[in-house]
Amino acid sequence: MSWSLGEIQALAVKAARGAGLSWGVAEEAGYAVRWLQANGAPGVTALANLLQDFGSAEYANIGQRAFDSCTSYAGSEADSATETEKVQANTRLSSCPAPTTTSLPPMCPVHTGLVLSDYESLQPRSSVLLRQPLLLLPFVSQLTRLERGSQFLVTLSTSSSHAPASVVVGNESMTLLDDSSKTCWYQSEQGSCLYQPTTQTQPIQKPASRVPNKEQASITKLEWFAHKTYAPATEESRRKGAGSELTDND
Amino acid sequence: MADTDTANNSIADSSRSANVKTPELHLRPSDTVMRLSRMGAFHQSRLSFIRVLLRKLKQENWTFERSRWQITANGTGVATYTAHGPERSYTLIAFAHDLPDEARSDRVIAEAWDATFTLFDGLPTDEDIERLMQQVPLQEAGRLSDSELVLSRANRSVRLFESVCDALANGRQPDIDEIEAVGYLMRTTAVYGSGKFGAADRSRWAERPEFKGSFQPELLSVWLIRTFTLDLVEHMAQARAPESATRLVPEIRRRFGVGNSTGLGMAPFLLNHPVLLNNWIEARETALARVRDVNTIGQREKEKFLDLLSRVQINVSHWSVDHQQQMQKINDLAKDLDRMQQQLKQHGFADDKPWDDLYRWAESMLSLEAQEQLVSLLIELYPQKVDELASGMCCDENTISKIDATGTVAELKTAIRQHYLWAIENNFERKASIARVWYVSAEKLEPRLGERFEEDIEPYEQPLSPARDIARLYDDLGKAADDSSLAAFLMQHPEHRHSVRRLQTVQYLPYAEIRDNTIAAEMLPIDMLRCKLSFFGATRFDPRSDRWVRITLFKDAPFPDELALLDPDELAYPPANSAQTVSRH
Repeated sequence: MSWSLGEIQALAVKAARGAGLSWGVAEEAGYAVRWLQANGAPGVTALANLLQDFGSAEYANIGQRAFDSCTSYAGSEADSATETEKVQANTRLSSCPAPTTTSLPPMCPVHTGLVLSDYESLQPRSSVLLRQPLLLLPFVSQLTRLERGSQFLVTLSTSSSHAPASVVVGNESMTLLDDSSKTCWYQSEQGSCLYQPTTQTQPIQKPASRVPNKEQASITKLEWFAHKTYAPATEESRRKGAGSELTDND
Repeated sequence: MADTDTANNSIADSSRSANVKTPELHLRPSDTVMRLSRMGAFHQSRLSFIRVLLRKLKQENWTFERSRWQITANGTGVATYTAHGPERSYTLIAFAHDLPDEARSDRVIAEAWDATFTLFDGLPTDEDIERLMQQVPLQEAGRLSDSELVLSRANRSVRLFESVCDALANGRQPDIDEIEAVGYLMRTTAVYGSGKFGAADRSRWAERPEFKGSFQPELLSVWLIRTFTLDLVEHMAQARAPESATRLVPEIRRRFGVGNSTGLGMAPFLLNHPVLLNNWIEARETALARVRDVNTIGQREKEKFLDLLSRVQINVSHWSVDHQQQMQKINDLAKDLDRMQQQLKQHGFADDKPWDDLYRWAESMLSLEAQEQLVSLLIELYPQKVDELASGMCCDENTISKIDATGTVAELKTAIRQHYLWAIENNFERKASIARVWYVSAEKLEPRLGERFEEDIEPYEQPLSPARDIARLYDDLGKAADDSSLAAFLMQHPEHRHSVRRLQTVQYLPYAEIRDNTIAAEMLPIDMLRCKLSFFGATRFDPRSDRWVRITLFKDAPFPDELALLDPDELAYPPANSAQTVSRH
C-alpha cells in the first residue's frame, strides 16, 4: 500500500491547518511535504513531528519571531533595529551559528522558511535553532527559482554526535552528499542551518512518485490533525448542507 | 457593455494558456462573463472535454474491445473494456454488484453501488483484477496504485433499467419517450482521478498526448462505462429470455448517455483551480471572439447555422426538470430560440460581421440561457478556428507559486483596486453578504455549505470566499504603512498569505475569478456546478435542489464500435428528423 503525492500534499495542508496554521501557511507546508517526499525524504514524518511538538499557542506572532530569529542572531540591535538594519546586521554574520549559543526556543522551519523566501536578499542565509530542520529545504529550493540553474549548499549542525551534514538543493531536487548526512537530515529533531550558493553539481535522482507504506504511522498523525478541520456532522447539517430531501432513486 | 477590463491585457504570465489571440479580437470582459448567473447558463460546446476526447480518439484511430465478460445472468461479475491507442492502451475494469434497492443512494455517504469501476493504465493481469476486486468496490475506503487512473461508481435508474430489460427480453425495442425522460441506464455518483485514494497522480500521465486537456482519463472511463451499461442490460435481457430477447437498434441505443449525480463536492473546484478556470473560459471566449470577427458568410454557413438552431430546439424540447426556476429558464430558452429563428427569417443575416451582429442582438434581447446557447452554436460552425484552442485548456498545478513579497503595501493595494474592485466594493458588514460558510463535514469528508448565523461551523470555514478574503486583506493593508514591505506585512499577517498568493496568481488572468460573492445568502451552488459540467460536455442539466444536480454525458454519442464510422461532432446535436419523439412531462 502506498499514497500518491497529490493526496499526501492535500492531507498535509489540512493537517497544518488543523494544527493552527493559517490556510496560506498550511499550503506552504503541504508544498514542503510533497517536495521532500518527491525527493525520497521523509517530509510526512517531519511535519507530523513538528505539528505534534508545536502547540498551537506557539503560532501566535510566529512570523515576527521567525523573522527576528533570522535577523537578530547577532544579538545586539535586535529590539530597536529597523527591518533594513536587521538585514544589514545579518549580512555581517559569516558562519553557521552553533545552536547552543542562542537562548531562543527552537523555531518553526515552515515560518522560518517563509521569512527566507519572502526576504530574498537575507544574507548570508543562516538560521537559528530549528525544529525538524529538514522542512527548511523546500523553502531554500524556492530561492533557486529566482536565478535559473542556481543551487544552494545547505549545512545542518546539531548538538548530537552527528558531524555537520550537507545537502545540495536545486529547484526540484536535493542531493545528500553521503549516508551519514542522510541520517542527520532525516532524523534530527533540531538543528540549525547555513545555506550558501554553490556551483557543485550533483546527479539528480529520479523523483519518487509515491509515499511508501513505512510512513503509515506519520500519515495517521497527520490525519488526526486534518480531522480538526472537519465540522462534526449534525442531523441538520446532513439535511441542509448537502442539499436535498428528494429521493436519489428513479 | 464596458470593454475596459483585463480581458485584453497583454501582460503574459507563465501559467497562462497558450491560446493565441490576434490583437484586434475583442473578448467579452470578465465583468460580463464571470458572473455566476451567466456561468450557470453555459451549454456544452465543441470545446467541451467529451467532444475533445471523442474527436481525438477518432482522429488517432483508436480501437476498442470488450476484453473480458464474466457477468452472471443476474448481472453481477467483472467486465473489462480496453482502448488501444497509437502508443498505449487503457482498460476500464467494471465490477457489477447485486445491490438491494434500499441500499441504493447517490449521496456520498453511500457504501454500496450497482457497479464500481477503475481505469487501468495498460492491460491488467488476472492478479491485477484480483487485487482491484478487493479495493474498487470499497471506493473511498479502498486503496489504488500508480497503475490506476480513475475510480468511479454508478447506480442504476431502476425504473428505466428494468423497463428496457423487460422490453428487450420480450423482443421489443424500449419506449423512446421513456428513454428520453431519463436519458441513462446508470448514473455515476463520483468519478475520482488525479491521485485520489492512491490512484496515479496527474503528473504521471499529464504529458501523454491522448490526455492533453482536462479530465480526459475520467471521461474516457465514463464513455466506456456507458457501453458497459448497455451491454449489461442486453446481457440480462438475453439471460432472462434467450428465445425471444433482442438487442437495441443502434439509433435507439445511442439515445442512452451516462447519468451523473453531482453535489457540492464539485462546487469548490472552480475556486480551487483559478488558473485552470481561466484557461477553460479564455479558450471559449477566444473561440467566440474569432467567430464574431468573421466578416462575411456564405449560404453554406447560414444553412448550417439554421440547421443547428432547429436541432437545438429539439434538444430543448426534450429538456424537462422538476426544479421550478430551471424549468422557467428552459421555457424562456425555448421561446428565445423561436425568437431568434423568427428574427433571422424576417431580417436575415447582416452583410458585415453577421455573427457579431447576431450576438449583439441576442445580448440585448434574449435571456442568459439563450445568449450562452448562441455562443455554443457559433463556436460549432468553425472547427478550424476553434478546435485547436482545446489544447490550452489545462495547466500544471503541481508547483505552488512563490509569493513575491518584495513589493510594498501601497503596490499591493493598487493591485487589489485594479483587479478586485468588484470584491472590495461589497459590504461585508451585511449579514447577508457573509451568510454562508463552506466547510467539510467530518462524516464523509465532503464540502458542504452551512449557515454562518444558524450553525456552529465558522471555526471550520474553508478558504472559498475570495471576495470577502481579499476585502479583509485590503482592510488590513489600509492599517499598515504604505511604504512597508509586503514581506513585513505578511510576517504580521500570515492569515493573508492565501489571498496574496491568489492575487499574484490570477491578477493577469481575466477569467480566473468568479466575480461574485461565494458566501452570499443568495448564491446558488448549482451555478458553479453547471459551469463546470458544461465544460465536461454535460446535457440535460437537472437541478434536484440548489445544491445538487443530475446531468447526462455522452447522450447521442457514438459507441466505441461506431467511432470509426460516425462523426461524434455531428451527433452532438440530435438529428433534425427526431422531432416527432418530443415529449414533455
